Amino acid sequence: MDAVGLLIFGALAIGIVGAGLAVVFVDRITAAALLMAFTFLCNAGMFVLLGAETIAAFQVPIYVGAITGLILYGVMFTPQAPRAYGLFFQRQTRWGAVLAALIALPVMTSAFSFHDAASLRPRGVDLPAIATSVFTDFAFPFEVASVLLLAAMVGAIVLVRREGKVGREGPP
Amino acid sequence: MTTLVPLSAFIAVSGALFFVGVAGVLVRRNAVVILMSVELMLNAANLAFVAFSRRLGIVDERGSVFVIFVFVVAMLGASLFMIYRRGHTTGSRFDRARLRYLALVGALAAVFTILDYLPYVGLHDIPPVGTVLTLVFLYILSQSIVRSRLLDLYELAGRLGVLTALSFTLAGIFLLFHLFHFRQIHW
Repeated sequence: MDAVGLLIFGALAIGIVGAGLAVVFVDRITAAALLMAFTFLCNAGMFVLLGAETIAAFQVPIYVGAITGLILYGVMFTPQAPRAYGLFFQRQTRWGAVLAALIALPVMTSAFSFHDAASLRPRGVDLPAIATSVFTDFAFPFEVASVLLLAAMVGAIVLVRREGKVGREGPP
Repeated sequence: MTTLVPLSAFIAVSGALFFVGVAGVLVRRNAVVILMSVELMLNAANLAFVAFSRRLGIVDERGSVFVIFVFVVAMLGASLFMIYRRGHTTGSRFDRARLRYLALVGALAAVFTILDYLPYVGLHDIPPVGTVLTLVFLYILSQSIVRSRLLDLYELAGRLGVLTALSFTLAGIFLLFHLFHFRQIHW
């Protein structure tokens, strides 16, 4: 059991970091979007490995489905001029990479200092605990988030409708 | 049953993914790839939240709840970015300005909504400005959608004045009811 878990963890970790690096370094943008979806899928596997099945079940439709779909739509609807690979990176690439590595080093060394709680009792399914937290302690932020999403949805509908009306009337 | 991969391994993977995202934001030119890198960073934060929540022995699922809010923030960021990008590519200057304005106001509303969450991470001393400002921005947003003009200050002020007068009238009626009720009880 333990060895299998370690193997799965290793495969998922390689998938996450490798696909993430590929997102940054791959030239074709649709390939980058699909690799990003693969990273999200591996992350859902990590959640299952941690015993958070509910979050994994949210992760798949929201990240793998909705956000990747949104980005692919954006790529489809905006014209992409072919460019030389030299224009691929920013000019400050070298300094950016050095800065990221400088911040990453202490953080990554401190990451290995975390340890599991001493008494790690097995917990059941995480859905009841999440539902209790959402509707007691976090009821207000939950409602605020839902109102904000509603406003965004209404705005999107109105944007699409107005576009259609302009198309019917024709150019002035 | 959960297999016993140590907590630090999960945190290390989360950190690695986060810094891949940081490198993507700092290094790449393409705006869509920068958005993707931001999403990678958010996902790394989710992984750390869930790992700490499941493995640190706290009873409630605080970390997992935060992950749900990160989902909302990620969706909002992606959609605002799409509106902004569309504003760059539409033909007419009027539409372009309107879409850009919508993206800006939406971003401000999102920022003030996130300010609302500060008390939940232990910052209790900040007054709850987020609630009021979110309402104001949602009102301006609805105005900018309903009226096709961008922001007519006179009309906005007029509407605000009418609404304020209406709410004060309602408050006065409630006050009268309250006084009447109070007197009835004591006499």
